[in-house]
Amino acid sequence: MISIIIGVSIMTVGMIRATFERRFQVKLHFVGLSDVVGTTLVIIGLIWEKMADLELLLALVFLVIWSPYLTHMLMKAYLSKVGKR
Amino acid sequence: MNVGNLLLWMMFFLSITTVMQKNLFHAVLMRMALSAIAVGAYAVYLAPDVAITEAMLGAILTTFVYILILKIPGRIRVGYIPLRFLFEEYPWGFDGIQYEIVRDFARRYGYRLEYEKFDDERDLIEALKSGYIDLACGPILTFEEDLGVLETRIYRIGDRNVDFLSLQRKISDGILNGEDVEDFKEGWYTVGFSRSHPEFKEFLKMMRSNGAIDRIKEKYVR
Repeated sequence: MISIIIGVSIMTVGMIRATFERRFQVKLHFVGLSDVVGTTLVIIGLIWEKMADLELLLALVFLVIWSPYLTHMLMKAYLSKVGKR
Repeated sequence: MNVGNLLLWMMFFLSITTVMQKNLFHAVLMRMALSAIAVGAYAVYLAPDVAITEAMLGAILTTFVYILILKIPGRIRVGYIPLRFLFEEYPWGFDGIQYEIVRDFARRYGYRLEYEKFDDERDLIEALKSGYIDLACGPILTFEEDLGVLETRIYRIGDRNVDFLSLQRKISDGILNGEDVEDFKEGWYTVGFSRSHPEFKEFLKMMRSNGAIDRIKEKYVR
């Protein structure tokens, strides 16, 4: 249960910081980290508590592989559009 | 409040934030966060199939498509009044201080340029204000030194301000007489930009601070 609570807390903190932060780079940093780590902890907690099947690991694998890549792509697209200041 | 409810409230809050974003990049980012939290919420509500689908479609595929769309180069419409040294029109293309600045801006930010010729200054300014054009070149004047690209004198003739190059052209065309000038003050030519491209202001300041504008100016005015 502690894993789920920590996961949700990380997501909450990341969401709040991402919402109220004005700079895109900082927003992306918070969302990229908090969502992957938060979701991972929630899913691991659910499997550990035997509240969910191993099937959920598949969703986790997709997120862990693709989310950092998409964060990287989003930053590259942003820099190519707005310029490196 | 249990964990599921908290995640649902976060989704609700994030969806509103996503809709309210004015910048497209920020909106895509918040949409990505919304999907990731949705994966967590579906997992908590013991719907693994939906969570997997959301992870694949919502968090990954949709974001990927948005990024591809955002990477497509934008287009900038440049309105201009041909003016010596600033924006000169030739059969083979354009030349001038303002043209080189606009060209460098488009190269740096990956924009494609389209040109629209204007005959009257008022029409040019009106088109810029209405958003029909994104950048305005020609006798666009400023008193802010940071935004200036070439020094000039701004003459007062009746209730109108006329810059040095336009005055020369109007005198040679016989529209105005040099004796009509009442007063003058120092000013700068600049490139007008619309509110949809605030990055142009930063670009001009950067070019001014690193001496790029002076180097362009030396090619045309000695």
